[in-house]
Amino acid sequence: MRVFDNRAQAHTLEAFAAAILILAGLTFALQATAVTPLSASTSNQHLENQQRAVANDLLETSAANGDLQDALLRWDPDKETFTDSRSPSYFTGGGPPNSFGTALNESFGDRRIAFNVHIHHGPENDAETTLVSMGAPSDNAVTATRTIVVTDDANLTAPGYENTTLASLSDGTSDGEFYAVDAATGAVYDRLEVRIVVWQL
Amino acid sequence: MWGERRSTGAGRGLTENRAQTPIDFAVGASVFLLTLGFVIAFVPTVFDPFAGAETALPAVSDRVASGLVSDLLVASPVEPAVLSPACTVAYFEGEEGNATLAGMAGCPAGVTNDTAEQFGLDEDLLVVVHAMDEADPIGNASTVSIDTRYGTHAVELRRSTTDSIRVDRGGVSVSQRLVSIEGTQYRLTVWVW
Repeated sequence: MRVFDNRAQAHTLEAFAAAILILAGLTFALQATAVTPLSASTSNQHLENQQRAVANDLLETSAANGDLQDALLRWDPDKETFTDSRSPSYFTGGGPPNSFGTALNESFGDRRIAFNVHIHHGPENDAETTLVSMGAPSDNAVTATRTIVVTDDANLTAPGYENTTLASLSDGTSDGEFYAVDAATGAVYDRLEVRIVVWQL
Repeated sequence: MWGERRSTGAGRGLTENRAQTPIDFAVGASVFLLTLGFVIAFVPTVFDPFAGAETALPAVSDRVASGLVSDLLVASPVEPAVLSPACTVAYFEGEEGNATLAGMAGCPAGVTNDTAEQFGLDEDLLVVVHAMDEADPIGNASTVSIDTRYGTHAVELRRSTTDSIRVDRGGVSVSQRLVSIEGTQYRLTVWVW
C-alpha cells in the first residue's frame, strides 16, 4: 500500500522527460542543418549570387573603360587622402565622385546594398588602403576582386594634381606620396588588387 | 491533505490510497501529446527553404544571364561583361537577330538562335538591356546607336522568345548582370517564366 502511495505524479514527470527528449532531438536536428527559417540571415543564396555577379561585372566593365584606374588614381599626394581635404581619407557614404563611384552607387547604394572598396598593393599584396568603407560587413557579404596594373607614367586624377605622374612622386620630383610604393624598376609601377565587399543592409 | 486523507481513509481500500493517479495520467499524457503535436507541426517548416517553389528555378535565369554576358555576346571570354558591339547588334536586332551580321563578325555560334532553345529551356524568356537606374526595366529597354565595322545600327536592346510575352504572370525568376557597350555601363536583366 505504501508503494502505491508514493507513486503520486509519476506519469507527469515521465511525460516531461519524454517531451524534453523529443525537443532535444529537434534542436539537434536544427543545429545540424545549415539553413532553416530560423537562421539569422539578411540574404539567400540567389541574392548573394546576384550581388557577386554584379560586383564582378562592375569591376570588369569599369576596368575595361578606364573608370576603375581613374578612381584608383584620384589621390591627393600632399594630404594623403582620397577625399580632397576632408577627414577621414576614405569615403563613407557612397562611391567617390567620379564615374566608378556613380556606377557603384547606381548598382548598389541606390538599392540599399552597402559596399566597401579596399585596394591591396605592395610586394605580397599585403598592404591595404581603403577607398570606401561603409562599416563592418554582415555574415552574408560577398566579395569580388580585379587586379589593375598601373604604370610609372600614369597621371593622378585628383583635382589640381592632373600633371603629377606616379614616377615623379616616387623619385621625389613632386611633393607628396602615393599610397602604394613603386614595386618594380621597369615601366610598371605596381599591381593594385581592388576588392569590393558587398552586403545587403 | 495527504495526512488528512490517510488518517480518515485508513483501511478504506487500495484505490483510495493511490491518490491522483487518474489526474496524473491525464496531465502526463496531454503534456506528451502536446509536445509531439508541436514537433510534428514544426518539422515541415524546417524544409521550407529547400522545397522548390512553383516558379522557374533562379538557377535557370542565372544560367541564361551568365551564358549571355560571358559567352554569347562578349568580344572575348577573358573580359566578361564587356559586350562586342557587332554581336550585341546581331543578337538584339529585329525579332530573331541578324544572322548575316553574326556571320560576318564571327560571333559565337547560336547568337541568332532562339534563346530558350539555345539554353535548352521550355520556358518563356525575356532579355532587356536598360539604364543602370531604371526602376521599371520591362517596358523601358534602352535604344542605343551602336557603331560596328559593318555600319551603325540603332537597336532596341530587348529580345523575347515570343512576340507578345505576358509579363503580368506570376512565377518569374529574374537575374541581373552589369554590362558595358562601347564603354557605357548598362544593366542586363533576364526574366524566365
